[in-house]
Amino acid sequence: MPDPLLNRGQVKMFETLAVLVVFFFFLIFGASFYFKLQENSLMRELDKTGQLRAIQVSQKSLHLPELDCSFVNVQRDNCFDILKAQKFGALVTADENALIEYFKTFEYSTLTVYGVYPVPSTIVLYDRQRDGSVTVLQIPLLLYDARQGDYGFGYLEVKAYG
Amino acid sequence: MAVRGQLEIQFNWIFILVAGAVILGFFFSIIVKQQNVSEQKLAISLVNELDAITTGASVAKGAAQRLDLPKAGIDFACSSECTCSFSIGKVSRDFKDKLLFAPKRIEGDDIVFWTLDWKIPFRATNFLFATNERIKYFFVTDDSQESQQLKAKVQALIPEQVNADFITLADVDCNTNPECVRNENYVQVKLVFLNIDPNFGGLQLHESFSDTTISAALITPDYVNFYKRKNLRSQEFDAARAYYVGDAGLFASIFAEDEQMFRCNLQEASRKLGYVSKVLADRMEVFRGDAELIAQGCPYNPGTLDAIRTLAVSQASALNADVLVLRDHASTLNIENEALLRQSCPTLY
Repeated sequence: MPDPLLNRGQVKMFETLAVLVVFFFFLIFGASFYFKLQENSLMRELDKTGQLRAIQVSQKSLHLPELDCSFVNVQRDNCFDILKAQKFGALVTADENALIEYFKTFEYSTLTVYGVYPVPSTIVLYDRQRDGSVTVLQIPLLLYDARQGDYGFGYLEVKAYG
Repeated sequence: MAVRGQLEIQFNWIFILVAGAVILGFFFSIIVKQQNVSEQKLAISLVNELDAITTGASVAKGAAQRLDLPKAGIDFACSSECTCSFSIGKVSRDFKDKLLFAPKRIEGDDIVFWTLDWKIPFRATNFLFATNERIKYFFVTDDSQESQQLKAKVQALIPEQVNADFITLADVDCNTNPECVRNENYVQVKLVFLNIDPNFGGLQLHESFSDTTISAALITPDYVNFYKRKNLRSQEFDAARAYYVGDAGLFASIFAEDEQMFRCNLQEASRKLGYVSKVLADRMEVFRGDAELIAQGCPYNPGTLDAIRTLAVSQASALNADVLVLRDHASTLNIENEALLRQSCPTLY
């Protein structure tokens, strides 16, 4: 015949275990909910960082002496000298040391100048890609042709890789 | 029966104690981890913000701006391999492409960033200087022409946000002058001797400087000697010499913590100068081959830009007295550029 006291003890033990199981169930549920929220917040943060980096890259490129329009050391805002842009693109493409040097400035990004008026044209200034998210930024530009002394219109496209 | 009941009650209490301790320990470890993560996150976000701010500041030529400073302060350092970085707490960030001249540590309520372009004679890059209200610069001058010229240059360009005073050698030396300058609660003081031998052996600073971080520099028209106190209360200084070119180079020697930071940044600046002059030289080649410009008689001379580029490339690996030759090349290029301007030809810069 089973001992009634032993049975009562087993029931109490099961009760305690059930309470613990429910407690840890809620704990794991709460923790997973919290970590999901954290993950979403991290994704938003990464997105924000990507946008900030694209802005920084475009800001740097617009003030780079290798590209800017300068007239006896007076710079014109949002303007690229088209000849400088061509020579700069060629330099970075041909010289690996130059690519390494400008990596400090542009990191993983692609910078392309698109001429729109008077003649459509494309100049790749810098290209160093990697897998992952991409933030694209386009900035209108004046394109100065020093030989003719003329201005054209275009835009700078910055692709920053996350 | 009674023994079994007692055992059961004891077991319950032990179980409760163990389970309670485990649960408490679990939550405590989560709190500690979260605290560390939060501190790390805050430091990373501050470093990111500072990186963005310095990027913005470094492209704003000639602008000085005062910005809020994190409570932890910012440390700046350059290693012997010229890896320069700033750090907030335990989080560090490389200078990357920025040429930043700053003291070893800045703490307080705010930080002042000032940007000046380095022209040789075209703008090669921008130098970014950092200081704040707790740092004082004493410029020591005398009546000599060189000293007065340097003083005039500093006075003309230094922004009002920088704590700067112009004094004489007699104002510094308490041996001869009981009214000598004293420290007005500045955390760091830099004595900048403009073409005057500092003579630290015979110089007696006021006792209010005894617990202050003092550094000193002798600036002549050609070079700068960086002096570092051997230890906090010492009157003896170690010296290191470096050469500079341009107004921005002069201010770099004033704001740099030491010869290491100055040299590392100037070498990086020379590297950038090499690439800028290469782009300008390649652009000039297009002008030299342009039939209209040839017919117009535009005098393009590739020699000077090539000479600047060659010198810049050599100085990028070892900065030495040869860098002074850049001044002659810059002056020649300036004359050539003006000649092009007079003939209505496309200028070099």
